[in-house]
Amino acid sequence: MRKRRLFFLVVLILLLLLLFGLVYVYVSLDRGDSTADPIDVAPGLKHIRSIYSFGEGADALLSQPYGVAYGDGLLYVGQITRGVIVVFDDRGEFVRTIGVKGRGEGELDSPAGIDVDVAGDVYVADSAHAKIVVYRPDGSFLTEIDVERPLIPRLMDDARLYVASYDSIKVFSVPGYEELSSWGRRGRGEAEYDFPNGLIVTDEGESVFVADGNNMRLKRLDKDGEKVWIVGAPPADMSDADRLFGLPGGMALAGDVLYIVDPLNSSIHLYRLDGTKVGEVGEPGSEEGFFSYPSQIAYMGGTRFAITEWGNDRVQIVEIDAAAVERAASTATPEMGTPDTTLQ
Amino acid sequence: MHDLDDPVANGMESMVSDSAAGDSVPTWMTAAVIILIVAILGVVGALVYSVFTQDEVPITMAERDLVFYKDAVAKRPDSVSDRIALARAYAALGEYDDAVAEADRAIALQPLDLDGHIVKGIALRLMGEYDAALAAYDEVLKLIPEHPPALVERSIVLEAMGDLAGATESLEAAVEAQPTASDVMVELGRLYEAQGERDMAIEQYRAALEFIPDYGPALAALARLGAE
Repeated sequence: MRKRRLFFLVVLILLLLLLFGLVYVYVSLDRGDSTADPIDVAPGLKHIRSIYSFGEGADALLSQPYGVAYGDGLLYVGQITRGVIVVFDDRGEFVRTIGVKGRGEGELDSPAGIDVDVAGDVYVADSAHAKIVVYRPDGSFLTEIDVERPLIPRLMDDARLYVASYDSIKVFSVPGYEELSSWGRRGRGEAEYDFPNGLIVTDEGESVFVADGNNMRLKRLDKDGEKVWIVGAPPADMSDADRLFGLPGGMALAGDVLYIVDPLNSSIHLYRLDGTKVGEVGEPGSEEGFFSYPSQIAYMGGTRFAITEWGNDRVQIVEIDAAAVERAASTATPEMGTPDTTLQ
Repeated sequence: MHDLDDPVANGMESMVSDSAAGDSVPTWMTAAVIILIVAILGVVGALVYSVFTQDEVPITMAERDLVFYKDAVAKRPDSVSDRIALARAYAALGEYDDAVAEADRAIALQPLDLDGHIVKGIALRLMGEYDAALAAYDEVLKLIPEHPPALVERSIVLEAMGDLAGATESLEAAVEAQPTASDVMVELGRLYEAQGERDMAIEQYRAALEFIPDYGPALAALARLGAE
């Protein structure tokens, strides 16, 4: 009596199963997700995926990527040698490029650090051409700001622009981009800088953290640029066994932990905001989850970070669990790293 | 025509009518089937679109190297190092025939470049062509009888062929040629263990620790043998 209804019900179930099967095949065929299985590399470090290219052919391979920023679901990767910023989505799919190689207005000669403001405007430090170039979210040119040898731009609540240049930290108004203050000069003294490669601004400018590159130290400054604490010190030479960093590079903040990449150690140092060390993770290599000259790091949310690797010509998306890194570090030999909080 | 007063005929008609009403398919079920068919067609369309439009973007280091060195070889066809790197990329991607062909091209350009023979041997081993792999390594050993990578690779092939004595002999020669290679010493120790030579294995593991005191595989092997 109810044979037709039963037949339709069976057809319905079969169609539903077919739909699930097809969706599964579609998701499985998606190369972006097929590489998304995390690889446990070390305690606290998981490899998620690597980005090697933004298209087909050798010309689209990433070449010595340096700057990296993340905002509104988009990942911005700078290529110094190609003078272009490449934009990817969350899954590593190519979205667009920003800028062209050159020395003209709106062009990039040697793009270093990148940051993105709330509106999606992209700030790029052109270290070879003494300017910060600002692009609209669609990649069109907006304006330029003159800064001598800028390395890292950092926006603070779209009200201030902090720039780590080769010899100092500069603060600009936003909008208008007038220089409000400049902290330090080039040198090895506590108030001096030598190619600071990492910069983080928090608490509406109350705290500024600087990875002072060639001086191999990490600094916390107050809103006026005065020292709060310093970890590490300029080494006597590169064989100095007491140095805390191989070379402190790009820096990201997640929660109350700073993540500082180290190009020479091929690792990431983790420090709390009070200057105590959480641990260090990462080893040199070209396999997924290992690093070769990591340059900059961007926080992507959760425990996820994007790290540019100069040596491996790629961007690695990794997950770093600070608690697991700390547990692993607690079994290792205690390292130096007590912050020097002596006021200047 | 039947008699309206015929109770049997009236009963049958009533049954037929009830049956037709009970067998009708609800509207929601028909709509669900139509929606599912549309959804299936949509997913099939997306699949076809995805397959035909997806860029072959490299997502691993080996794929990246393949793109890079294919381009390098196209630009510099006489570059032996680029051809060997391309052969390595093919081998890493499991494209062993192409790896062997590219290694052969490198060898043809520079027969004395030993890396070409080594890469060719590795690809042949991975293809299961053990005799051909041994022949590739022999080309190297003819030129440099104590070439450590060739001796190590030769040992791997001989072990795969079941010749433990030959594999051991080859690794012993490799250790003699490169007496600081802790990883090779551990491999030699493993082969000794496989042949019941416990003391000789322990000796190799300890020797490995002379150069890398915290070498994990050697420490683990000694712990396993109770000889820490």
